[in-house]
Amino acid sequence: MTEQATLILKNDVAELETVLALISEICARHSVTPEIEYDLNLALDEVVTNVARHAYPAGSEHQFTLELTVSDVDFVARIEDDGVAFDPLGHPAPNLDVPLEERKEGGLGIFLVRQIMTSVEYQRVGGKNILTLRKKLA
Amino acid sequence: MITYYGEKIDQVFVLGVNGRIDLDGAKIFMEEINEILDSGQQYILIDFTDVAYINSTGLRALILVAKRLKSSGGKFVLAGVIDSIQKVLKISGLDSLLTILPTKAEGLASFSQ
Repeated sequence: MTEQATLILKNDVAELETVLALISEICARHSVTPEIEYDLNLALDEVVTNVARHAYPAGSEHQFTLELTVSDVDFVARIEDDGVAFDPLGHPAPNLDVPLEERKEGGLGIFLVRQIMTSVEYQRVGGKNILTLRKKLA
Repeated sequence: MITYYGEKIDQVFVLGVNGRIDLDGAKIFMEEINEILDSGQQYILIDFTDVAYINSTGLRALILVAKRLKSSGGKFVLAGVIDSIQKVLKISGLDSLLTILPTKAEGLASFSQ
C-alpha cells in the first residue's frame, strides 16, 4: 500500500504539531518500528522548524508544502518553500572531535537529519527550495 | 511540553524531566536549569528516564549546561536515557563528552567517586 499526503503549512513552528500527528498516524498504518518513527519525527521536526523559522522574513505570513509518500518499504518527505535560497547540504558538518570547551552548541539539526535518513537531496528550482528526505522502512 | 521535579540528594541536585525536549521543551528546560545553576548548584544529575524525545535544540541545551558546569568545576550527569535518545547523543558525539549512566542510582553513585 502506498499513500500520499500533502500539507500546506504556515511559517509558524506551531504547525509542527500537525506534521507530527500525521507522521504518527502513518507510522501506525505502516507498522513502522518506534526506532524509525523517532528518526522520522526528528528529521521532520528539524527541517519543518528550519523553514518555519528561517525561510521567510520575521513577521511575514507565508505558506510552504510538505508532501509525504509512504509505502511499506520507503518513506519520502518533500518540503518545498519559496523562501530565501538555502542549501542545507552546503552547511559544514560540526566538528565532533573537539573537547567540550571547544564544541559549538549549534549546527546539529541538519547534521542529524543527514545521519538518520537514508538520503537527503536539495534542489533550487524556479525560486523554490526543494528538500527531499528518504528513509528505508524495510 | 515538559514537566520536571527537582530534589537535592546529598550534594547533588537531581532534575527529573518528563516529556519532549523539543523547541518549546528546550526553552523551559534551559530556564529551569539556569535557575538551578544561578543558585550555585555544582553537581547536577538530570534524570532522563521519562524523556521520550530530544531534538537539536535540546542537544544544544545539554552542551551549554555541560560547558557551564565544566568551566565552574562542577559535574553533570545524565541518567536513564532511552535507546533512541542514546543513539542521537552518539551521532552528535555527545556520548563521549557527557557522563551518561544507565540509572539514577548509578548516576548518584558517580558523584561520590
